[in-house]
Amino acid sequence: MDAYTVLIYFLPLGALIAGAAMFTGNLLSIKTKESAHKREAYECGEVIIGDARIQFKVGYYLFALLFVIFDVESLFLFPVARIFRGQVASGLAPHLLLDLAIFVVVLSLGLAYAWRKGALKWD
Amino acid sequence: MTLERCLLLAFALFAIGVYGALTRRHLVGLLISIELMLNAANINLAAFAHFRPGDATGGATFALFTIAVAACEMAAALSIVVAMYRRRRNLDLDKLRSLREPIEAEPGAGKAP
Amino acid sequence: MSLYLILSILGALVLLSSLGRGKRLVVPLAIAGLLGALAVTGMGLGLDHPLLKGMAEFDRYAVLFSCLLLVLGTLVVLLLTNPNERSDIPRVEMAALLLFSLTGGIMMASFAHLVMLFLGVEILSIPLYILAGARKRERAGNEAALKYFITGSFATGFLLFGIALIYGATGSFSTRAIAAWAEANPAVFTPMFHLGLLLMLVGLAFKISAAPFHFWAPDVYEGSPSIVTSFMSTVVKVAAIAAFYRLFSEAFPAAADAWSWVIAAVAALTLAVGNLGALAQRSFKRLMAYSGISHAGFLLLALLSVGPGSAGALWIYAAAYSFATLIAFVSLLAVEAAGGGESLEALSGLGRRNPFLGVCLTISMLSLIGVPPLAGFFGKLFVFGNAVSQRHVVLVVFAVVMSAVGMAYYMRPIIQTWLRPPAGSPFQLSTSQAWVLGIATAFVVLLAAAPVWVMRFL
Repeated sequence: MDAYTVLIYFLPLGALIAGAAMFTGNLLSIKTKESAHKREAYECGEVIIGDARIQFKVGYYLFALLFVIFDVESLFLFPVARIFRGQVASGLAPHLLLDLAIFVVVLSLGLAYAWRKGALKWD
Repeated sequence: MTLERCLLLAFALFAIGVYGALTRRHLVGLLISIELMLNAANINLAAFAHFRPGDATGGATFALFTIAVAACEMAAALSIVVAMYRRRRNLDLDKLRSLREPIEAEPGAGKAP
Repeated sequence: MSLYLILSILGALVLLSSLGRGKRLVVPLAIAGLLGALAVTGMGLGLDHPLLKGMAEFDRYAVLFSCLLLVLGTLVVLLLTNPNERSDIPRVEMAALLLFSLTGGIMMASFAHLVMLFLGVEILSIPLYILAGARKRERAGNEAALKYFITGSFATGFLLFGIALIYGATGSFSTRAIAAWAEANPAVFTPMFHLGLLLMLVGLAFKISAAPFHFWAPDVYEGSPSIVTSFMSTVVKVAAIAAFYRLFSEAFPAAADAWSWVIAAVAALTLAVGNLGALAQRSFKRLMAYSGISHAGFLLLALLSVGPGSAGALWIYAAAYSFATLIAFVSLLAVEAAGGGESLEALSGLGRRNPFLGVCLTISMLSLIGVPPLAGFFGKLFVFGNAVSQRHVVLVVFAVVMSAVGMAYYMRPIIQTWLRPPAGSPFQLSTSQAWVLGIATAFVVLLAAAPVWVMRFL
């Protein structure tokens, strides 16, 4: 199976997932009246047409800061993936799991702190 | 791709970063320049890990650490920038003039704003 | 359990306790933890056990510098308990950030692998960028934080690029392997190796605020809250010079011909800039910033004479400098709390407003000048002695001239304290300030009894 055959399988699969998401969204959402805002494409709450050099709301930066926590988490998946097979083979899997758990707990403590301090409120 | 080309790329990026960090007037541009400097070093680390004999995984792991540290650094920087923007509504570096040498010490400095 | 782990868990506990109701217990908790860490470190003396698969090593040098850093850190955290301090600083978060930063400082004193050096520098610096702007509603605080961040991360870029080049040239990050490589290739000039060396030197010179990379220090010191400034000018300076010395004495001794003249030039320039710059200052805080620059120059002299006894000399000098500087900043904090500003005039008549404070400040200034029975004198004596024995006579003569210039500006606070009319009514020190002053002054006076012991030990 070469690379292009994979594409043939993935195209309908992708369409199916996107369609399913829109369908469930339609089922679950609260219906509102037609309005100018509703007809706009969704761009995270920003005005979509006009000068690109506008000032974004400062709140976006706060969310970006919190995003960094999880950005960094995914980064350390690479070294873990590199040594994973060897660790499991030599029976050190619980050890590895514990290390990873500590890492995730430390990250979540950071998030918990930010949450309790109200950094996730959008005002 | 040879080691020499990677090094040339890294040196060029580093030089651009240093130049940008020294000349940029706007804060965000300055942050990008600093990020360029760090990433130039990352390219070096990755290139050496790949092409040179010796501690190969060390270089690659170091690059990962650097990315994480740079992310933390930028998070700290962004929070300073946000605090500053709330206070001054302005991110122009030339307007940072609250802290400076005593005026008598530099005769050409003019009036303090 | 390793010291890194103790300190970072302590920092996380302090930070989390700010969410609950136990805010009052936070600083006592931090201080108890720090004292525990100090005991653990002291007990590890002479064990020389490598940590983290040899990436860090608590040898005598590391233990002695870690103890110094822990004592200084404890004193600064103690200052946070002061009830007179302005209430617009978030104490709990500051205590946690100070602990994180201290962890980085200890990593810098005990690394045996360049990853640990880099992480140490960053863990030391990143909390400090935030701490410098702890008063987030103040223009000066924002500006100080930003300037500190810009210069700090600029320096990090140089340090990291240098590390990458050293790795490329030698194929390793371990200080031992680098030293072995440098010894095996003595005469060869390798552009990559020597450029890497130079870039690392520049990166670290930024961190100890050596000229020509010093320009950020006065502004950042002035704009930061005084407690944070006291931390920067003591813990950060000591950690940076400890890392500087450890790097050059362990990884690059074989390449000394290539770097010693650069260090000599930087030291001379730093001495000139620091001492001459201090003469023009009117603010006590800026004066202390320039004093910090000039002492970075003296500390670099110890680096020039790597050999038996030089680590001991460095330690004594660093301890003498940092305890005396801490006293100066406690005086500043006390005067600020009593309604005075940061100018030298705010100190006037201090001897009559609070005689204990006046005496301590005088002792501190005399020690910074290097007057004989005090710790500063022994620091200068050993550092100069070592440098002379390594035939850096011209530089030492220059340094002596510059200490004479230092006398001119260190006398100004003393004159203000004793010979000028009081700038206000008498005031009381808070308990924590009195303790910190007492302990720091005791060190400045009693270190004079210790030098021989330290020199033999290191």
